Amino acid sequence: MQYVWDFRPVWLNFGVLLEGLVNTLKLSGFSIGLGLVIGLVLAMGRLAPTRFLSIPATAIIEFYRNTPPLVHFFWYFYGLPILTGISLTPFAAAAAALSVQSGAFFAEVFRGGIVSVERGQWEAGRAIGMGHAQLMRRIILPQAFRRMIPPLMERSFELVKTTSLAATLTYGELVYQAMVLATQTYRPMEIYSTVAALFFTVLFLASLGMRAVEHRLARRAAR
Amino acid sequence: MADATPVLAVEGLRKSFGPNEVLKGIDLKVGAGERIAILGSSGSGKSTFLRCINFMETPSAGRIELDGAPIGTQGRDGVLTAKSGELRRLRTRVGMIFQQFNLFPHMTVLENVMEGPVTVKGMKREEARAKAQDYLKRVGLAEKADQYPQRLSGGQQQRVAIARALAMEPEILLFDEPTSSLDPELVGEVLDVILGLSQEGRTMLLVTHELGFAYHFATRVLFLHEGRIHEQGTPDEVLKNPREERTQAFLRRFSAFHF
Repeated sequence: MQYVWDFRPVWLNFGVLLEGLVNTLKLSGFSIGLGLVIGLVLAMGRLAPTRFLSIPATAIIEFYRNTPPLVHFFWYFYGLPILTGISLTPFAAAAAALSVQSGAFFAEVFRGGIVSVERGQWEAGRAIGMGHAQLMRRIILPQAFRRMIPPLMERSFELVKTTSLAATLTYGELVYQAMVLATQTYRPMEIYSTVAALFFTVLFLASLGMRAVEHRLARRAAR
Repeated sequence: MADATPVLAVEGLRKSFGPNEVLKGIDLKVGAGERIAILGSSGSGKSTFLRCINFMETPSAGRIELDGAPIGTQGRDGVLTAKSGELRRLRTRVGMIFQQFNLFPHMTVLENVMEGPVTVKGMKREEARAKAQDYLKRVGLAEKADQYPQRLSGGQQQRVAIARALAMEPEILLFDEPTSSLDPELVGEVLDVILGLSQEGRTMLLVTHELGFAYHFATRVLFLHEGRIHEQGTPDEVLKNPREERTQAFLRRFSAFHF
């Protein structure tokens, strides 16, 4: 048996896929931005000196880290209207699920970076009278940030790939557009291979760009 | 020193780490302008004692007073707790210099010195900059103001750390083995700076292994042993004519190589 590849349906409908790619990037960008904010808040909560903050933050982080993302998508899209009457658009539900879920992972990256700053730095800040928030903002986070960049990138790439789950909520991101196209053209092999190539191109270029940024930061750090 | 209220008064200070009691009841009154050298073998509790004074370690029991006002409140279990505002006030009045310098690597030398006055005391940047430059001049490093700490030798870094502590204009300075992680040829420049400060009548407590320096620096020498003050007195009394056997044994180990 020999399969005859035919990419013509892909080229003819490339606009549909490009629209999906734009939606994927939109969802990714929004979720990474919001996820970083949520992650920072959760990390600060987990590291806070009072248990009132650290216990709930830890609970949220561990819960989201240890449950499958697809379930979060369903909760926000199908569960929320049932429980609260608030119904979200596919984009909003996907963005909420992705932001909170990756926020939990980002929080652990932040926490790892923060606790990796030497004890002496914490003590030196406290010794000149800094409170917890000042110490974080002025001394710890600026130093932790550089160490966090590679794992944050890693996590963000993961998130970009996870956006494909939004297809299950009928959000028109790349994989959903591909599904639609595949049922119309009967060319799933060509279409999904193209989807893979598009994801690869975007993420590979992003990682090259990131490596350049890291390189520059490393050079600056070696002043 | 007995006439006025002591600047610093420590009573029945105890500190345990888990089951291990490191400080077993320390009493000390420090008068204004006194310079106290704290000696003792490792594990005697001398660093822990110093770190309890500015609450880098929270005392397990006892009482610490600054100018007659107690720091923190004692819980039912005897443990002192201090609120963050109180800790901030305490630490702006009691400066600390660490064995490892602990300069902020992401800031220039000048920014390191300005950081406390600007962020903690809310001083205007221009004023803080001028003061920081003054203090850097005092430790002989005015020309290094715009360098990053990594570029400096250990001795220079420690002098910047001293300027950083001075910039808070503290009433008391605590030195925790300030020369112990320096190469021998760099020890002198740091000790010179500390000796210079002692001419200004500052109240200072210094944990050190440099006995010769302690002799010239201190107005009073404490010898700690197993979490207690084992012997104290003037440098001549403690270092030249120690009464206690432990002190004599400790000093003998240091003078084994005199030539």
